[in-house]
Amino acid sequence: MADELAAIQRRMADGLLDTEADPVELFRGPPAATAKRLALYRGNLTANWHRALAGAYPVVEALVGESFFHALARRYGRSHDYREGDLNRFGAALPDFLADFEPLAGQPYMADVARLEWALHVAHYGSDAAPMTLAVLAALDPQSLADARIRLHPNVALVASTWAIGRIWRAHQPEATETLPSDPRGGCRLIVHRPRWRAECRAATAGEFAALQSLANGECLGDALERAAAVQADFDPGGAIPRWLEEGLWLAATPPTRQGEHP
Amino acid sequence: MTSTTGLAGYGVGLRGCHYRDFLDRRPAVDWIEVHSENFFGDGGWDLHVLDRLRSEYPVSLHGVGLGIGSASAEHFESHLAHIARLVARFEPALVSEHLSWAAIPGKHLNDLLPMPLTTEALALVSERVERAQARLGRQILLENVSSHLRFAADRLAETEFLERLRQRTGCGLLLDVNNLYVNQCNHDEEAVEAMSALRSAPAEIHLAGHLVTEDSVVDHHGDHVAEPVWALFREAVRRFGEVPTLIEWDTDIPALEVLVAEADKAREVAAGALSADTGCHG
Repeated sequence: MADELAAIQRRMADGLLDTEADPVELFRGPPAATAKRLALYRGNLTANWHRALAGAYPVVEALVGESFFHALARRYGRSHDYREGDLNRFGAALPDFLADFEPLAGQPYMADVARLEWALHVAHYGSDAAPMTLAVLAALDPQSLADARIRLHPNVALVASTWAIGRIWRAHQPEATETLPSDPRGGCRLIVHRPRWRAECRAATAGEFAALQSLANGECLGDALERAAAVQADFDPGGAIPRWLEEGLWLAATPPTRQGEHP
Repeated sequence: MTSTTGLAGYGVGLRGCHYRDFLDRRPAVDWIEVHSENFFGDGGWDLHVLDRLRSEYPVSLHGVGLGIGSASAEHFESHLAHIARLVARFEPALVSEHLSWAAIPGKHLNDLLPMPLTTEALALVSERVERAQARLGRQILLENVSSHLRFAADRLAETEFLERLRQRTGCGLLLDVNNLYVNQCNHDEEAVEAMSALRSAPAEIHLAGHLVTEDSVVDHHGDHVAEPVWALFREAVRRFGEVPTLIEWDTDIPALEVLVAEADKAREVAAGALSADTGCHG
């Protein structure tokens, strides 16, 4: 008797997740009517999944169409063991799911479009922490600056793809000036950030991307700039760094600890 | 334990599509209610808007994802921690949850699923409410839900369950009058009789629209409050006096003016019910 509640909930949940199981005997009322009403809850479940995914992935939905997206939401929701009561993070595993999703094998760029949209979604709900200012940087002497570790702002994401996902994404924005590319090939490197309240993405040069990636990996600023120069001969740190700070890409700089000093 | 104070009159549910209207025009409603889960992020626009409106309107936090009646508790503490963070930041006048379940081990179903109304469930929900109130350091309200199904195992009526829960835990009640009506249609449960199980006034009332379908009445929050629900609201006001009352609208959300007009209508209907009552007895 003590576990009756858990058993009832388990059986009802199985009925909602699996269209084959109709645990009508759990409920009052005639079985045929009960089956129809269970189907309403099953429909709610898919509708909630669909809404949660559509909120984070409007471009993927536009690309595959609403009815395909609805079926995708059901497949994803059933296979993905989501444990949170907050649906805002429900879509976190969708990019990996899409990468292996057989019906979309003909659109191999879709998983990367999803990766970009997820990074934008996370940035939208991300930290309001004030980014680092140019003044903080200016206070460091040149050697300390080269040895400093830079923490990127938590809303910053670096997204690279072998597909033209930046152009695909931009073509779906309300103020789009570009049309959807007819050929999805063509790699890109993108920086996702949130200047104020609206998350944005912009194209990065090879050097910028390499430097920011290096900083994200915990390398010091000097090493990061060397990596940038190695992949882009005309990389100009004097232009790039003020721009990054202007865009709020950096959170803080940790100067190097001096020899013999205990952190 | 602090009781709930500081909120009265007629409010509307604040939804994302109306943020701009609220910021620019400060519509004349007495208070606002938000879905707690929409503010679980670390930062961003939603929290910023609520920060700004918090100084203009009393706020009620209404949870839709705790699933307080889930036998599985694996999601419970982490979800509650998010609510606690919001309570500390916004100091809401009311904090409410639904009498529903949502999760089994390993999976959250993200819906307001009806509780089996058993004594075992009452014991479990009581314990959870006590944990929540201890964690938040304040009273919470529990709301009756609409349902398409009733369990064969049920031993209590829903409002009877809620009244016992209130006696045991000191929680408050959020009476959704539309849900009473939906359940009256779906399960032949007399809504007026359901109200009679409550020994004292609820701390809050919800009003919303519903959708009549062939198979069931659906609590879709996508229309004006229906006439039979206004009639039940009059009955509730006659019984319990004026209670903080909210208009909820979640699908096909209209212009904010429509919600504000609906809240004004609730104010008029309540005033009418009270003056008719006085006339009768005086």
